[in-house]
Amino acid sequence: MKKNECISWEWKVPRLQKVFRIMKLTVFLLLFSVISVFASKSYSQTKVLNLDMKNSTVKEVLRNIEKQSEFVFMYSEKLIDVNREVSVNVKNKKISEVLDELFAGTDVSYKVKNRFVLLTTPEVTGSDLLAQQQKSVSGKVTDSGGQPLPGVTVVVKGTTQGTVTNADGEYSLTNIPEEATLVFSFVGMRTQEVVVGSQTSINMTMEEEFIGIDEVVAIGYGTQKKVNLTGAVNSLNSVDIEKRQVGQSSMLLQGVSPGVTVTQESGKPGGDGGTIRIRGIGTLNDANPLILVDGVPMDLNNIDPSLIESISILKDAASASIYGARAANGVILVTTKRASGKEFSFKYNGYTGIKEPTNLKQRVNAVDHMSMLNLSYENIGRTPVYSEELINNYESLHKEDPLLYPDTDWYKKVYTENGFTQNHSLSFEGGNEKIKVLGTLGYYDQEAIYKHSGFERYSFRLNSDMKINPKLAFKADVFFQFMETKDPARSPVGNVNVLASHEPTFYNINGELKHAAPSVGGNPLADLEQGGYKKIQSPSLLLNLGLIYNFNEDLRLEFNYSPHLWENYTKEFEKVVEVFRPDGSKVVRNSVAELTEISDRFVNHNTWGTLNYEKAFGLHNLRLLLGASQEAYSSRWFSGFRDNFDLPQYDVLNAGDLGKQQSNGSGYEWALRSFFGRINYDFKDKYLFEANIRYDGSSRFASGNKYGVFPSFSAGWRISEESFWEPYRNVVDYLKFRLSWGQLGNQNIGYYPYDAFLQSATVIFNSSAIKGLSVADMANPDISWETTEMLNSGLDMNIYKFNVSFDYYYKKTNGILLQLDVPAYLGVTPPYQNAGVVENKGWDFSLGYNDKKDDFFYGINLSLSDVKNKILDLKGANVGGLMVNFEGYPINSFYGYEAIGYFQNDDDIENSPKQSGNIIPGSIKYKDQDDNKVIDGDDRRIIGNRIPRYTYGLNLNLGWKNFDFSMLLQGVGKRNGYLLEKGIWPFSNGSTALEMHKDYWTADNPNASFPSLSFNDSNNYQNSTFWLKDASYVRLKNIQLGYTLPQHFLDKINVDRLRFFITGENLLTFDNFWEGFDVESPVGEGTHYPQQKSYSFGINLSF
Amino acid sequence: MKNIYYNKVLIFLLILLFTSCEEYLEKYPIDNPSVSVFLTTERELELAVNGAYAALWLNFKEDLPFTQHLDLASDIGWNRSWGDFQELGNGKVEPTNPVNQLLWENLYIGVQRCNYAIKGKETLEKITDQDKVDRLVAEARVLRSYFYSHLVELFGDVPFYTSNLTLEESEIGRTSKIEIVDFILKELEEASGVIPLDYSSTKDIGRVTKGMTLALKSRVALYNENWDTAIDAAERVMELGYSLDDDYSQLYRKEYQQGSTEIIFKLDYLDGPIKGHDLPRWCSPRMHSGYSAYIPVQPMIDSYLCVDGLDISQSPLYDPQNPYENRDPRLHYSTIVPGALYRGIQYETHRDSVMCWDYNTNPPSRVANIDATNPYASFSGYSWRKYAHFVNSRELDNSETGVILMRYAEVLLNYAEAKIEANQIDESVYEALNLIRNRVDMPDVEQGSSVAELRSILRKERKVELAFEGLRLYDIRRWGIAEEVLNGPLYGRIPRGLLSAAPTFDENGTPDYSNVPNKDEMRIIEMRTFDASKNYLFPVPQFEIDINDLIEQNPNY
Repeated sequence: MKKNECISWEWKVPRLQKVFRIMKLTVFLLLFSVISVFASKSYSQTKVLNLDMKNSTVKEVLRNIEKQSEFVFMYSEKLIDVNREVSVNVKNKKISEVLDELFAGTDVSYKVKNRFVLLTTPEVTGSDLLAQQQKSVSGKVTDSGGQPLPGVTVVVKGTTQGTVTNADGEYSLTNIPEEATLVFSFVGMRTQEVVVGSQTSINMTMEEEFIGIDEVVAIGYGTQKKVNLTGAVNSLNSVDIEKRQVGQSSMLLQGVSPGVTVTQESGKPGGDGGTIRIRGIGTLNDANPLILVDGVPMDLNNIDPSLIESISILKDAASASIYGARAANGVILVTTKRASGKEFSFKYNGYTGIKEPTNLKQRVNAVDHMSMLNLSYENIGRTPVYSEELINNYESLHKEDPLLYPDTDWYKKVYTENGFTQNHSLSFEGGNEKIKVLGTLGYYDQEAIYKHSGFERYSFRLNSDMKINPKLAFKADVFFQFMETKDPARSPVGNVNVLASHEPTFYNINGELKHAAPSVGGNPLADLEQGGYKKIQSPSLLLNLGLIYNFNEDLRLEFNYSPHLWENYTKEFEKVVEVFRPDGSKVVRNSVAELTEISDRFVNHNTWGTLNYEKAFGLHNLRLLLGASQEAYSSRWFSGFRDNFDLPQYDVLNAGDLGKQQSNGSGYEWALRSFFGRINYDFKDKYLFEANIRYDGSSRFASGNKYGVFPSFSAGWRISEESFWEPYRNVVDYLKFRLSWGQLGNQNIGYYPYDAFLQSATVIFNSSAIKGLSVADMANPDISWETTEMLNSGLDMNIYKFNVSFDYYYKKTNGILLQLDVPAYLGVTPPYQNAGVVENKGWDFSLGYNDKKDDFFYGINLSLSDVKNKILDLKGANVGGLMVNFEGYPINSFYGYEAIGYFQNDDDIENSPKQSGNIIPGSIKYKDQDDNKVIDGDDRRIIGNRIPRYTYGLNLNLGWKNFDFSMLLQGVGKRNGYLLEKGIWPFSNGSTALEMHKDYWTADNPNASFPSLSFNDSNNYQNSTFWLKDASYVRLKNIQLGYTLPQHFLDKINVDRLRFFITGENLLTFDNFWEGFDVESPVGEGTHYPQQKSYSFGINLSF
Repeated sequence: MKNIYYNKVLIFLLILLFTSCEEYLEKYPIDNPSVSVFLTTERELELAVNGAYAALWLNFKEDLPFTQHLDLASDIGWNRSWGDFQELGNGKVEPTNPVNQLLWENLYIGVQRCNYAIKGKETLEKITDQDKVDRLVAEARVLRSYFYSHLVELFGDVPFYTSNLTLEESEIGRTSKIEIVDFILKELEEASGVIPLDYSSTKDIGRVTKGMTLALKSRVALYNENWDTAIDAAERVMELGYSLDDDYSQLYRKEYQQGSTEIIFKLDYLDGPIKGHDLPRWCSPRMHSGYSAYIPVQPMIDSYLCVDGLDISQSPLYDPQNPYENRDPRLHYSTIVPGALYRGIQYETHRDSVMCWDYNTNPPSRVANIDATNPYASFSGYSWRKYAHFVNSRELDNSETGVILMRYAEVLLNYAEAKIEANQIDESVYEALNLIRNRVDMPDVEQGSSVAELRSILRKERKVELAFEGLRLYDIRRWGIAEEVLNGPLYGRIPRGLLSAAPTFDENGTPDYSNVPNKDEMRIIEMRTFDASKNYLFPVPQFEIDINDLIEQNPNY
């Protein structure tokens, strides 16, 4: 045995393929990551190993060492007999001691550099090889930081002649022609070429590939190298996540991943999460994706963004089908951060900021309100509401007594707060080889833009890993979270959006300001101050207990049990609201205080186990997964009610009156049991195959229909690994073609849809409540799973420095559970039937470019996707209001008349097809689609739709020295929005008019933006293109500027990293939507809590 | 050794996890049974029949039975707060009107529940009390007739089924109104032999009685001009011992409804587990925190006769300067007119009456009068007093006042009308009318009146006696006068004055204001149109037409 601490080492490999066989790709990967990540000192000095192996091969021993440590071995099987049988028994030995023992009596020598161990024999010393040289080129390969890079492949282009660099990054090639081109390649680095010419010494600096080609992404029940993926998976890492200041994690996904559409319909603290749709809408039922946090189903918004290490989005059937019955809408896998096992470290991330509405509508002032309302009455022959006298004198009256004759800007009165937001996340990690722990404590607090309202979240997560011995490891995670949403019992949002400017705020009653009684609706200021509160508290406790057992190096068992207990506890204390008339008389809303408490408790037991088998047979790599899981979910709720709280400061049930007390309670349950398996096979990392199958049983279907089988197949071909690709590698150094097909299911259609159940229907006989039961729906025991079939083809490549990925998919959902419209005269809600067929056709595209030059780095990432949704079959059901589901059209299409301008005069009305309603000059005129001279139901058409198309995001990252800058633009290319009633119709249901309504039709203003004012007119408010708007937009979703303090400064104060940043969310939006409303407003009255823009300042600190 | 131990634990865990029995996936609702196991016992039959009753309470709006509302789509009232509803009264109703659809759906929910209960007698496994089973089934048959009777009156020919339809057989056409009416009359006749006169158990008081069954029969027969049947059914009710209560004004107060000998069928409300109704909120004047949204209109006010039995255009007792004096007391029992006292406050809607008297203080005080100044105070200047009654403000939204669906006065009027129309005028006709008039101190009907005169008297009497009880719309339709009374402006009071003279009245008691000098000052609440070629029936909801080729729309919709 020869020990050689520092050898000059080189070895020549006759055929390139052998290089790959000898040094598995993983070795390269790990080599690179190890070297770049741990540029530290003495792993080999500190790391201790335990081995107890009898009659094993050397190869198995080395693998075992690789498994229990970060060491990786490089050796040639030709030179070193790794199939030699040995027995090793060492305890707490360093690597050098182990290797000494292992290779005692052989001529194998080793060199340990960081975590990289080279094994070699004396034959292959450089001198031996060099002795034969006639004409040679040599040189040194370094990384961009000047560090030598061992293991870089250097070949003569177009031949198989080549070598790899030694531990010092040096190489030498002999017998090469002058016109030869050398190709330097290394996994994780960009391939480079140099023409030899007359040079005899060529040094090369390799540059990192910014696409982490070595990146590993989470897939169902495991991980996969990104390069070897055969399905359509997008991922987000903690770097992407840390950049965003969002309260709800669902908003992290907006604009960053092609094929994933997130829509934010409210800005309410705690309610400002987005609706996530992956690749269109595949069902008319629940179209939410399945979200798993470390394998546990959960609402994405229930996890603090700062806990998240990565998010994987499984978009196609092949990658999602391992989750079978619930995967039809896509699957999102969230992985939380775990300890790396390094020395103790401590991190703080925090920011604080303020928010304001992105848009607010502008209503007319008091005088305009009154005169416009009068006009809208007069126009249809009604007597006006306000006297001319009052209107004429109002301004001077207002000056004299602004309380009695108000002109109120309700937003200013009510939206008085700045939406103060703060987020703090404190984490510590530490451990050793045996036990690793990461604890994170998070606090998020978001106040509303009005008083007494906000959202708070406290979270604590402790992720720990324990390695008992090389075979057995445990994982124990504890996740506790407490969320509280607080709002006034009577939210001011509805009223503040509709109240007219002439409505009073306060009256001066005997020198005291008292809340005034408006003529319609409530006074939001009084509701806010006096009305009591509504609190929703959600404590949640989750344990994630895992066991990993390695039977041997090939076979691994994992077992997980995650009990999750959480509650939504609602407490609503509605207090007496007293408002006053000018004379001092009181109007009481709610004569007595009422308290309702609802406890809704959920328990979910989630258990799964998997067996993993992984083995390489020569060039064939095989991975097998077998698993089973079951999940039982139950909800129990009860509520209590009392009223008449004489002492309203005591807000518990016992303080109320017994008289009208009530209690209610019930619950529901469902369960899933599943078996699943996966085969991964690849040949030389070049031809990739995967097959999944899941067999799912659900309690939601009747016996006989409970089980469903969901298979999928996928394949990938890394064309760039082929030898014929060699000539193109300098342009396209990574090219993979993917194809997948699979089936998925959806079971989210109520808990017991297969049967009809009696429902309580109470009657009052003789002043007492008597129980009755009734049937409210029809049963259909034959219903079963919805199945989604999806075909996906994709292409991933690196071309120059661009990472390009393109996917085309076709997704068809069959047997959509529909409540097919049945005649209303049946007196029951229709049963679910497996009737609908919907298709989604679309493509996802992403393009990334990242580079750095000296102190400057820049990156740009574009994602763009489109999906075309179409209902293929609804069994002929075509019924519609504003939003309809019609065969041949997208889900939830808008349906109505086509507005073609206004009636300009009485003759015009006379000579046009007959319309119903109060038709006056200036009324909206509709197109007579069927030309029968009458505008009726048959003239309605599909006029638009709600499903976003051409969704895109553009992410720009720039850095210069210690400054960093990032910007995310996000948008939708095509979408329609629709507002109605109080939102946009003047004087609808007691609301007021907006400034823009002043541009109404008159004979002198024939091309006005709005029809002539006519109160409550049914004609103008028919569903029509008039109220439909383009809801496409571009939004500056996030912009951030950061500064990291220089390392030399930080070293002095013992800090690893300190960064300050300022950031803004939603700062700018470009759209053609209704003025005063956010473009993402839901279809409706626009009376929701407005979407917000925010400005924040934050700190990242670690030491 | 150790490895073996681990292996055992693992295998044990796996076995524990995945071998539990198949019941793991068997989940059922935890509060109510499945239809597949239901309706085998008498108790279950009773629960199903109770469920059918519950359909009477189904929300039309604000926890009210729809009947209460329909008068607001007639010539006597208006609903300010609900545009879709207004279309039922102003002729703009379209097949897509959601209120129209709601009416249809809720009535059919009632039909379905009755059918379910009736069918239940076939699935009973053991019967211990045959009489009770028969009675329960008969109750459901009466309720089904009730629901169908509204359907045919509102929509004409309608889909008709007496046994619930499966999905496969669900598409049916419309059955003629005549056929359905025949069925109803036959059903009610049969049920009247089974259903008791009253109930001994206090928990059953509120179920349909023999009186209700026959009163409904008289109504349905009358509506369909089957005079003899109407007379016969009404006569049989008149033999059951019902009588008019002494005080008309108290009929709409819960305390007095309990002991009523007049109320034949009503819906009770309970503040508590089930909400009370909120008629007081919608009807009461603004000064009482009401919304003044359900209101009587000027023609209703003017339709009340003077105490001498003459209409206001003829009576010497009518003084245009004091128009509410010397009038049929029911004017004040049913409505609140300007100057009247309501809950201790003087009701005044003259626009200039910015202050009014509050007599709840001692001495009385002048308070700001929002019934004059609030732009959404009563558009007509009048309010309903019927059903608006409340004592404490909680009752505004939680009134327990029963809503009357059938009372003896209607039976008397049905009887009189059928006799008049059948030209069988005799003393009993006068007696029936006089009973009703005398109760409120109105004079007797003049003996020896002609059929036409009596018809006119009867129609005026029905208009005021049954105002805001949900029968007016049916009356103006069947009398064929809807096209007269639902066309043109709907009038409220003159905001700053009184009518300078009384309007004239036709034989149906409908006022005509063309002779009133200051008629142009009257507030126009809305403009109504009534197309006689279609509006006598509501349209069949578009929904039904769209999905079922067998259903045709009513003419001209």
